[in-house]
Amino acid sequence: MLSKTQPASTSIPRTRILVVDDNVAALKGCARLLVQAGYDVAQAEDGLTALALVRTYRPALVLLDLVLPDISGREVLRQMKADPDLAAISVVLLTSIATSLEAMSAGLKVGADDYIARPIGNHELLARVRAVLR
Amino acid sequence: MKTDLPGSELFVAAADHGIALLCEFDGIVRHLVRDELALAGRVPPGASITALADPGSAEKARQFLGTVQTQHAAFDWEITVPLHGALVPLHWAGGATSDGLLIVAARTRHGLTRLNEELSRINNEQTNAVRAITKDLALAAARAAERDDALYDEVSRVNNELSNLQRELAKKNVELERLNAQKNQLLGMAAHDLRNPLGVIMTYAEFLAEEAADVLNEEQREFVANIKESSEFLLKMINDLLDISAIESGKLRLDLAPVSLAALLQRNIALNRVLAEKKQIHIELRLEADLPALPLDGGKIQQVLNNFLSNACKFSHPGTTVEVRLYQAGADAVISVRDQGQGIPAAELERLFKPFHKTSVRSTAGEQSTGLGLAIVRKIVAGHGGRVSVESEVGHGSTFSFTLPLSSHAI
Repeated sequence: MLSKTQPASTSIPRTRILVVDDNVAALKGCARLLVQAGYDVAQAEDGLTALALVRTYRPALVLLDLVLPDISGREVLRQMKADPDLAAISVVLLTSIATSLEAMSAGLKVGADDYIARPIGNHELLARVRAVLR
Repeated sequence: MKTDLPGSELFVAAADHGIALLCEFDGIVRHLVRDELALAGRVPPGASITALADPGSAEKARQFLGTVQTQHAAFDWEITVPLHGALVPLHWAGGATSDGLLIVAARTRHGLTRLNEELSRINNEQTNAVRAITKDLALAAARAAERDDALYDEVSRVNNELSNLQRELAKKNVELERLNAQKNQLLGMAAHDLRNPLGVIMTYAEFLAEEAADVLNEEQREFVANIKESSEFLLKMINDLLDISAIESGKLRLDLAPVSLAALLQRNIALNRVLAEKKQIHIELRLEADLPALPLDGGKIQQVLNNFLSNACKFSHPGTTVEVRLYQAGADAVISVRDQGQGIPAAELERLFKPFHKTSVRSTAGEQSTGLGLAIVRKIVAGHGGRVSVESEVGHGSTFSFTLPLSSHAI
């Protein structure tokens, strides 16, 4: 359940982003977009793989889908924030429930840095990612 | 004058027992015809008939007597009479004869009828004289009793029917509420599940549009543009459906904060101008009132404005002007958007703000509509305590307006 998309050429270390989404097409699309924008990207299709990768891959940012097949994205977030070693990693929640304000504020309360309601245009997604990493 | 007093032998307070008396025109008792209730002591000859009544009901008894005197008959008055230590309401009836008044009172209406019938069978001078009137009384009483019975039956039948209907209605209401909740839940779920694959389509269509532009020919680039455009419209529709289902399930949440309408309009119009100018439509803004900041959900009010402006552009021809005004009317702030477009037939105006209603008017550049925008707008404005309205003349354009109360108490 883990794959890494290496950037074409690496001389300076690139910012690492972990994308977590159980929809493979969405996951690949998002990863591709980020790689093209110059990021180093890892992908996970479920919550436990995501948690394992967070520890080994040490991303600067996790794009985290809320709906996952094993444990929820919110649980991944909670465990990350509860671990002093991982708490500093930025997390942006992804969801397709645009109107779910409660879900958003709940996510932000647990420590997410931002919240992206999908679908979102490619350019807008990149802009939001850059804003969080800045 | 012969008296027939069967009741004096043994008093049995049968349910329909009564008393019958002949009186002078002034109500002075002349003669006791029947006394089944053993009330003779209260109304000896020479006493007034009103003495039969309980003192508390004397006034009513006098009114009864007055009615018999003036209208020559009175039927079924309920007047209380002291009867063996208790106050018992009796049914009173009376009629005028050629030489006096016949007064009958009984415990039940049926008793009244029976007494009248019996009196009419007694063959003596007085009853002969009053036969006609007692017959009338009896007839009237019988008819009234029948009518009462029929009425009672009818009323209880209707009552039963009503309570059956009410039960049925309550059941149907519960069912409807359940179905509506289910519909909204389904809408929300469907919309959510539709957004995921739609997002994928949009992401990859964008990849294609941006990366494959060189290898695709013009027709193929148009294919990609169509995919993008249609998925964007689909997204708009899904978002509208989500909005409507959230609003309809009572989840319209307004995030109120003081907002300057003028600033909001300026910002919003700057954004819409870019889109309008692609169609060579000019948007003009007139701020005619200097209003204080109002407690509004800025995002939602922008949604209303976006809807009005995109509609105005959608149905207007290039080279025309859309005029946006902010002014005060009484206790309201009014924002109006007037276009020089095609106008809307009068017959359609009323339904315009209902969900899924689409006008028969065609957009000028093939733009699509979800049919939900104005329904959402109406709910948002109503949520702020305001009203939406539209005026339109075919061939001359339309003006869509909404009001917002200047006093926050109205929210």
